[in-house]
Amino acid sequence: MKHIFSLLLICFAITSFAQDKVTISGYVKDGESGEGMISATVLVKELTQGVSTNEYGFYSLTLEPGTYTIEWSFVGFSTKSETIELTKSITKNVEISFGEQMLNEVVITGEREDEALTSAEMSVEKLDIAQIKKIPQLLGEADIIRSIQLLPGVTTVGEGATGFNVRGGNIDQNLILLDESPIFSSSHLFGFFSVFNADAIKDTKLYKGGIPAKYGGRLSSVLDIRQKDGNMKELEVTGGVGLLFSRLTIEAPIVKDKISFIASGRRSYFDIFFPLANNETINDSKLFFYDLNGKINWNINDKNRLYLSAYNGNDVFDLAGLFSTRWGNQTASLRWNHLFSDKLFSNFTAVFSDYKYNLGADNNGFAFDWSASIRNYSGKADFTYFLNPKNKVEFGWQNTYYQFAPGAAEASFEINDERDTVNFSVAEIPAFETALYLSNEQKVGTRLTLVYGLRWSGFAQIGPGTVYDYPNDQPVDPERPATVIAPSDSTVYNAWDVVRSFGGIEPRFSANFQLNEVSSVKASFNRMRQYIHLISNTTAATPVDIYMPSGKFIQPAIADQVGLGYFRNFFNNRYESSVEVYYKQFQNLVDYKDEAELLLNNTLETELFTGNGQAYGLEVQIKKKRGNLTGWISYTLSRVEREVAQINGGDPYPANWDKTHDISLVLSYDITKRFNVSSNFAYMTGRPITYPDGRFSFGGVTAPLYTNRNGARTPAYHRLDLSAYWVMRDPETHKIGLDLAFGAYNMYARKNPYSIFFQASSTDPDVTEANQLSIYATIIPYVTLNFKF
Amino acid sequence: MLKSLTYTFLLALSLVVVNSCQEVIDLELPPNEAELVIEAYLTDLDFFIPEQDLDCSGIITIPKSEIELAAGLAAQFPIDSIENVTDYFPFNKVILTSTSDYFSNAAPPPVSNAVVQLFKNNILAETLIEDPSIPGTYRFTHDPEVGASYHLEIEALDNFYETDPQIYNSVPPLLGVNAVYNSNFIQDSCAYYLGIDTYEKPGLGDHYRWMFYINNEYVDSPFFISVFDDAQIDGLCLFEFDVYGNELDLGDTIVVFQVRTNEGYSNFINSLRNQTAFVGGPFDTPPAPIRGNLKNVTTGKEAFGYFVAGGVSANAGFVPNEIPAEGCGI
Repeated sequence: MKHIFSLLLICFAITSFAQDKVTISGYVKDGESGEGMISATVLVKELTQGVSTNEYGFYSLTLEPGTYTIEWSFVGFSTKSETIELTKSITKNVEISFGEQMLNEVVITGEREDEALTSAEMSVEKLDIAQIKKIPQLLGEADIIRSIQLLPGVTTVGEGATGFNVRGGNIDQNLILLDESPIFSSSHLFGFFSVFNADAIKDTKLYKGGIPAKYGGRLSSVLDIRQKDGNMKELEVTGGVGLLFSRLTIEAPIVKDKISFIASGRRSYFDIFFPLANNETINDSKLFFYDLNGKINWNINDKNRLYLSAYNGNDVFDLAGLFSTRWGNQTASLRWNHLFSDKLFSNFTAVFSDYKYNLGADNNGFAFDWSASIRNYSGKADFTYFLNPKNKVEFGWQNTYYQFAPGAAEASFEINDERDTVNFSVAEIPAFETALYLSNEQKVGTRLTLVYGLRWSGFAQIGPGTVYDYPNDQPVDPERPATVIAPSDSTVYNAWDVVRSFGGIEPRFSANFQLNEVSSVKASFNRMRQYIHLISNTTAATPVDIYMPSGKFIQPAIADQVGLGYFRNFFNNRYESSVEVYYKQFQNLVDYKDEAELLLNNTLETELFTGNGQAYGLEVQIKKKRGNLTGWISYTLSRVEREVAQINGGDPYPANWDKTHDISLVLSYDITKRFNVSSNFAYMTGRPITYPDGRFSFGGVTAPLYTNRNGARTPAYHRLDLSAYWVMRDPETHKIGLDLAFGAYNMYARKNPYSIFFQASSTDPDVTEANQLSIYATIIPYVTLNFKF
Repeated sequence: MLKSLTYTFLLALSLVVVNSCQEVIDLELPPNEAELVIEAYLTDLDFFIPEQDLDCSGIITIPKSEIELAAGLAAQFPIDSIENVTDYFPFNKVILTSTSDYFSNAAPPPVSNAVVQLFKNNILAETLIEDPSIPGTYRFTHDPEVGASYHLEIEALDNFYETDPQIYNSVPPLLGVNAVYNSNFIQDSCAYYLGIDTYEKPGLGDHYRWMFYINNEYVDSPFFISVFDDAQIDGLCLFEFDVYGNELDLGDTIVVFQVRTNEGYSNFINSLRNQTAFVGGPFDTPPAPIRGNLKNVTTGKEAFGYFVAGGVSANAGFVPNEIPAEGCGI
């Protein structure tokens, strides 16, 4: 381990004799709001060399002393250029504004125009919030998760399913970060809407492969979402009133150009109509969700900045107390950016994240209350060392303490006018995860860029707790998996005793070789380890599925992914195209016994199987980035398989989210300065499903016989959505800006099959039928009025 | 118990969330290769009776004499006459059928001329005779013994089959079958519901199945298949305990059978219910084979269905012809 890190250090150190050089560094900010700009370009014209700003808008360039013309640019914004005589290191903070010449143009991403060609990153998708807001969405609610599902390599089990699947990964294999806080459930209303309020979001970036060494803990992707910092210049209020949602965001300087805040809220009000019902139970019921985002940003001085971010979101469904469920994420992060020097940028982060969920009932003498949570506390230090224009070194240390609470329940029965109460809980499980990483982005010559790095991660399930022992250390009989194995003994662990620990190296590599000014080839490899597991045995995950750590009987999951890509731009970077292929191998994936008992089970390990998997595919995308017409078309050809000895006779079977063909066409057209129309069309192969091989009867019930897991498919899925966006009053010229968004989801009312299931007829049990379930079987129109002042 | 709650939750999710459309579609499925299906209950009126008066939480006591009286009444329960008035009555017989094409849309094909043998503690206890009037039905005449181990060996469909051994256990008697006027789940209407009086044998790991005959018709809806374990009711006295969950009509007659089963049978019944009643929502578990305890020894594959050995109790009640004047309190 030590030797590998040393080798890595030597590797980039030999390229970096930086003697008598000077550094220009600083922040690039949005001139209107003072927000730091992510991925803005800083270019030295004479050298045709440059760097991009980091997640906080910081850049650093180390050069030979001399006179240079420096350009700070960001697509869609006017470029700022300045000739500077560099004789010593200087700090240069720059503000650039939305460009006059660009006012009428929509751009898909804010990155430099040929970023996709020149960056060593591959399998990375960026979506601009302005673009997301124009994509037609369900009920008009700008939705980050639904938008990324239109990108190649991203799928979902079906409409309304929680989360998203990236290159064959399960939904728990996505590391979702909101201002560096992990989000465990990214969906509201059982998967219909995402938890991210687009008004409060500045930037989204999805890594599907070539994942940088600074990220870890999940197998398949990283979705890095950054909240706005808050307007440093002036008060800004934005919001929207929809049929079933409303939003309000306020941002303003507390001290101009020094301290700012943003507070944003969103609430659905499906339940406002409940009191109109002629039913007391429905009158007293609740069904809503809300999100609250807040952030304070303190620009202490040129060397220090502080960010305090918080998020609180909840879903509530309460049937007048008779039945209720609620779940929600709470996160908070405190970040301190500190410049140790003009070359060494650091970020220290403290994170709290809690995902709680609850289920309750109280009816006819029977009451039940169940709750579970996963909570974590993280501390991390991330450093970026801008060694010279050819080398950027990143290193850091991350630590997370987890508290898994897989479930506690209280059940009470009123029997014979007496209430008997039974308490039952699965003991909380503490765990600790740590990671060290080191990587370097190195430019070799003018055409080759390499990013290579290592991450070492370690994980321990720790006490206090009781862990069961099983005969032969096997909680499941591999020959007769249905047999219930009882614990043979148990071991009690005290606080901080290590129950089981794991660790390993995760190499990361990506390379970009620029063939010419308009094309490049890229390659990547990454190994990822995942120590926490979503325990879910339903087609679509539910919000009350529990998380469990790796431990004595659950091994850490591992994924290795290789990718190769060809990138080419056309017509002066107006069009961007890419073709990527990937292969991914999974180890130690959790699967389940038939009819597994997953809730409130102290011997959960007796219900679990372990298996492997693989995913491979081809992704093609063509994007039009500028002009009145923008958008993209993407095509994915892929296969996702699981292989578990005890399932399907040990033969591989396709995962629920395996979609052979997946096509998305997203278009946005500015008819005038103030009127835009957009559409998206999605087509994908039907999802895998199990068809019966026959039937049998028992006790008057006719039941299907299943043998071949996911051996068939539902019919293909396709859908067209349309929307229009009308700027009624331009906020640039009016005190209060108003725009109206309206459109329709599922334009031609396609009855897309979510599932096909098999059931006896309700009138004759000897007659069996195949039934198709469609989630949205009709056109769903929407209208939303947005305002800004 | 917990599983029932989980399914209730998942069903509620599906109902609340899904603005869905469900329709019957045409589909082509491959033909089925016939395999044996067994449904067998080796039962008798064998009761668990406490050695003294039953102390229910220190407040209510059920005198032993009352329990013995109920057991005696059950012993006189006219099981055979029920069989005469209903087309489904599985006790003390082995019903053999075969699997069929999924869309065959006919009654399950009976399997006749099979050799069916009952073994007690691995010693042949009897060879069952096929009922000449009901093809595929083979009757037990053996008097089971509490604590003994039973299994079946069958020759049929040119294959040899064997069930897992089952330990025969006694069952608490059904002390009463009542119609209880109560509110529905969302408390917006009232109806009569079934409530049984019984008690549970102390010691975890007991499983029960209830079967219902309403107006002499067997309730065969998978939604009302009722199995229960004693995880939350171990050793408790149960009064007006609703094990049916469906509304009763005024004037209904009700006969309830309480069968002592085991964990394997409960899992089998839960699978049967989940794969037939609770399907079609976004939160379904994957379709899976419904594993019973019959194995095709010739092919090494699993066959289908279940053989149960356990005591049975019975009792009857009726629903009044009118609703109570005091209502149900909503």
